[in-house]
Amino acid sequence: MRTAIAYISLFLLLFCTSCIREDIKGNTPKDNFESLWKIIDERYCFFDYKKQVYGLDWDKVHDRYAQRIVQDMPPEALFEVLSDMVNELRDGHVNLSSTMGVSQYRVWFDAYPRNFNDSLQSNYLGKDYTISSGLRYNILKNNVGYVHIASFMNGIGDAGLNQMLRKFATCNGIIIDVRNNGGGNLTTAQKVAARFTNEKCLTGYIVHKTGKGRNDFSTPTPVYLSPSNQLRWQKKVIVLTNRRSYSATNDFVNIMRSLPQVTIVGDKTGGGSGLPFTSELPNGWSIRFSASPMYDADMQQIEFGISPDYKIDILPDDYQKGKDTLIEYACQLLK
Amino acid sequence: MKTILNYLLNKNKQKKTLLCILSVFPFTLVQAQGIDSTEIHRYINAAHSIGVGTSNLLDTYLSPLEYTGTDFRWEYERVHRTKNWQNKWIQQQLYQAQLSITENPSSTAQGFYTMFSGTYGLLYEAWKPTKNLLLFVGSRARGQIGGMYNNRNSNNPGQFYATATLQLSALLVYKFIIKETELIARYQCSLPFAGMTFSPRYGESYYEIFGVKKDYNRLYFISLHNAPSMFHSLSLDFPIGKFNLRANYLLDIEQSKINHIKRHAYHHSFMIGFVKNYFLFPKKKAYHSFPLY
Repeated sequence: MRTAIAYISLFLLLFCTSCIREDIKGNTPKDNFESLWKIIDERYCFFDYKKQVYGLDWDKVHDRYAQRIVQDMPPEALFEVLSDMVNELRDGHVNLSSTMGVSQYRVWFDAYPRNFNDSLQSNYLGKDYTISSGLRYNILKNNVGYVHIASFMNGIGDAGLNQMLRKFATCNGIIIDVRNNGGGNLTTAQKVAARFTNEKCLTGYIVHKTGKGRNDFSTPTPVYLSPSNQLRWQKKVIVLTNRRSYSATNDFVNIMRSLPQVTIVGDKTGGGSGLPFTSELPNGWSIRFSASPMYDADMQQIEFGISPDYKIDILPDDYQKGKDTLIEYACQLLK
Repeated sequence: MKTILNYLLNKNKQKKTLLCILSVFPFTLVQAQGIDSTEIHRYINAAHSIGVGTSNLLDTYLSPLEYTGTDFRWEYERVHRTKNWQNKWIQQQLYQAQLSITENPSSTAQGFYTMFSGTYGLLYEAWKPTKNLLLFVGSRARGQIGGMYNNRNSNNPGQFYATATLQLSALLVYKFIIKETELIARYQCSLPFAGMTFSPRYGESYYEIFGVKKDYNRLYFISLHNAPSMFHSLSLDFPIGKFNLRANYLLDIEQSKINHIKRHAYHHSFMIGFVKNYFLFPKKKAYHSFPLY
């Protein structure tokens, strides 16, 4: 019996373990406000950079918005206050989602010319263009290949890219139009870019948070682009951009501009270099935020966009004539 | 069995005990006849069980909220005595597969959790106060692989789990008779005390691990300080007609706190299964009696 008591006591002693739980206090407007502020405080990745650029002070943001929280405020009012708070981050990757809608910081493109019109684009694509693997392409009248990539959200197949490059084989150059491409998968963007290099090259760095402190970051990891083992393009390339070229498209432009035969034409990209993660509030609302920053090959921030080699806007006169100024300019460069 | 009978008969003081046992557990002794120590290691107790229960899941890499829902589980267990060491040790093999379908407290997002595990245990017969009560203590090695998927997240949609642990384990077995029906009750508790587990770093994406670095070394040592976990199992084997059934209650408490990522998976499962007691080659008649006796 003593032996049994000894064994049982030993196990009971070892079983005196504590529960691992997250400290979620409740589901009141104040609880949700504090929870959102804390998630961003511990996991958002651009505090330092944005403090330098426009003086973001997340502690002061807390104090300012805490005054707008009332215990019995309706969900609609709470959503508005919390949306305003996260918009202080000036980040298109920060979105609060609820049944009432999705908050979005839109100034990064609303405050700039659109520089893209699909009616103008259709004047160039014609009626016999090809649609394949998310690519829309055709050969323009002056023997220039033109492809519009509207999104990197879905995969782009090797066979589709091979087919397109074969069609463009006799062209003087290619225009890759990523205007209004809001991003998608980084791997898809890199897969396309890999068709335009013959050598492995450094394109940037990626960093992640290692702890809850605002400056707890890992050492930068270099990101390389390796050449595709499929058909590769050897002639000139023009990439067309506007402010809605965002997120993975921003990364695509960052990669392409590091290649010697590539020229960027158009407007500054929208940015969005932080890899977004998602979390949620006690009331079930979802919050997306930039969690893991990516830098260019010189370790510079590209969160607020990448400037083109040639800053070109669509001119009103060209618009009246049905011409896309950016495509026209790109064709001139490829002559 | 003869040895035990002789032992009991040679001691006058224990005659009453013997009579008592014979009167209370006649079925037990009849069933146990024919098994001797040279072949008991070939006598296998195996059970397939399925069950349903509840899950409470937390993984702060995915969400700070606890997801709750239903747990579905399959289990196969195989137990027998060892050939060596005077049959004092038992080997336990346990395989489990589970699927949990959960949602957050406001039912605005779902979490799908799946886990496969294999366990091998070696337990020593440490205490035997009566013929029908046995306590085994020992160690188990457990490997687990699985993951959790959140249907709403962006670049952190899921979490991959891979864990290997060594556990201290205790198994209490009690055999009793009710209305000439032999029943086997078991309680087992296990405590992982050392192991390794995979975990991304706090804000690290799987894209960075697998797409950029291609450095998969994210293994961390776990023990009571950062992964206090425990497993409990309470079961009853009982015959119905020609079948031997098992009713089983499982409580799994798995926890960890690594790289500031908190995880827990609390499962309660109620299981029912078929038990098969059989001899490995050469085939012999199987007994209802649990082979640990």
